[in-house]
Amino acid sequence: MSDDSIDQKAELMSHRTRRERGHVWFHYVIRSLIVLGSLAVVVSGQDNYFPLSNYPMYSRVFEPYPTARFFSLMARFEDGEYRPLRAWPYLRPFWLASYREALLVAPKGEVVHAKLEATLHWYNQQVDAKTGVKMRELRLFKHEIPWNRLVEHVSSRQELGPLYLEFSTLLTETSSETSP
Amino acid sequence: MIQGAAKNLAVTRIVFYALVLFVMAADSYFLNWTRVPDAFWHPRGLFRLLDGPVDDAVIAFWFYVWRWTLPLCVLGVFFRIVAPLNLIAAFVVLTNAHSWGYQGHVFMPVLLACIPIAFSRASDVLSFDAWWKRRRGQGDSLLAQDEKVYRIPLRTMQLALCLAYFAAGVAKLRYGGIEWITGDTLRNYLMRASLIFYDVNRLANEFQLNLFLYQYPVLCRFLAVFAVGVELAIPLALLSRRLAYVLVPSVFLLQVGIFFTIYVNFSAYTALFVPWVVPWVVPWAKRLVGTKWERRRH
Repeated sequence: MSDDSIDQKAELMSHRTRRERGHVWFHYVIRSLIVLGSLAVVVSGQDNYFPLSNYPMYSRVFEPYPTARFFSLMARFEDGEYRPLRAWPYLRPFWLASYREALLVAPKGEVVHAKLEATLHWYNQQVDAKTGVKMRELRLFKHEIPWNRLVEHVSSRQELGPLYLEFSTLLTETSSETSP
Repeated sequence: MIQGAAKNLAVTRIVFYALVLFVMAADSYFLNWTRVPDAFWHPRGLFRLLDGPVDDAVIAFWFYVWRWTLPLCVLGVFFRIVAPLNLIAAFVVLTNAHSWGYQGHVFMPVLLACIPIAFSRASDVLSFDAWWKRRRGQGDSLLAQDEKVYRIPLRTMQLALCLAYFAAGVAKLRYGGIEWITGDTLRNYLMRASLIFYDVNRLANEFQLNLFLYQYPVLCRFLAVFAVGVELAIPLALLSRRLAYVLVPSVFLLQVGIFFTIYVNFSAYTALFVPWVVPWVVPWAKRLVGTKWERRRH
């Protein structure tokens, strides 16, 4: 093997080593950013910097006595039926709990009302596309229900409807006849 | 050693991206966010810099880029270009999905875990890229000389899982305090699951394990101690392999328990266990195959 080819090989090796060292450092930087970012949101208690989060779900003490607060949505349809809103299949990708969260994330009256109106139109558009019964009215209720009554109902698998009805307050409503 | 480290990262690449594909990108959940009315716009992360919702066609474009680059990442096809492109697409699609008022926490650590692997040399072996290089006679330069090139990205992926659970543990102590463990908080959350998640997770709703556990307050408190304990201890898995053998399966059990009792579907998290499990399973599988091969020869 000539001296030239040995030199060339040595140069190639040193180039590879330098490149690998840079690669390793780059990954240390990525790791530092992920760790520092994650710790920053944990320390600051922020949950608004996707994809970083302090994972606050289920972290509050949940001692609901004497009452538990829930929100529910009731809809009146063109066939005259009045029943709880279901997110599937027409309000996909929401399911009911995620829809409620999105509805109440900024709990200002006019914002929530605008979202209800938009939901009514959206639902009816989807129904048009897939054939079904259109929605005429949508109502948002707040329920403050004694926890022991709730537990009793859920444990014995009784219908929750009458209980929700008994402890309900209408917050806002929208109708396909009044909304633009 | 280097060969082993490279294989661990490559197997992680294959299983991780395959899980992301099947659990997250196979159906149209992320595409469906383009249908939500603008009234729900509530931007998060980098989308807060935008004036309003991103055009539906743009999101749809990135969704399909994300979906179709995932199989390429599994196969290791032009990985060094395709994987960063996949990461950008995932960022756009997932940030959009979290910008409509609902903030789920299921996909966040998976996206974080995508960052180190997207910029790693995970296609140096067991990939189309490696096969192509060998075919062109560049097989000598396939592997890195420094083992860290393969080990550091894998470790950072492991870290993504630890950070998520650790943050959840800290949040419980911070917002709930010791009362979260000693009181009936977990028990009440178990009951609440039947009230607010009755239209999701049919399998969990079928069993209603939460209602069974609700009858035993002491057991619920024990489970609360277990949950917070495991969440706070999980970073120790990075320091000791023996502790990892205990803590990582415990976290997995915790997740399965959450699915059946709180009804929250964390199936995307399975991808986060891949960088932990692969370095345990690959050498064991290799030994097993090697022994069988030896036996056959004799």
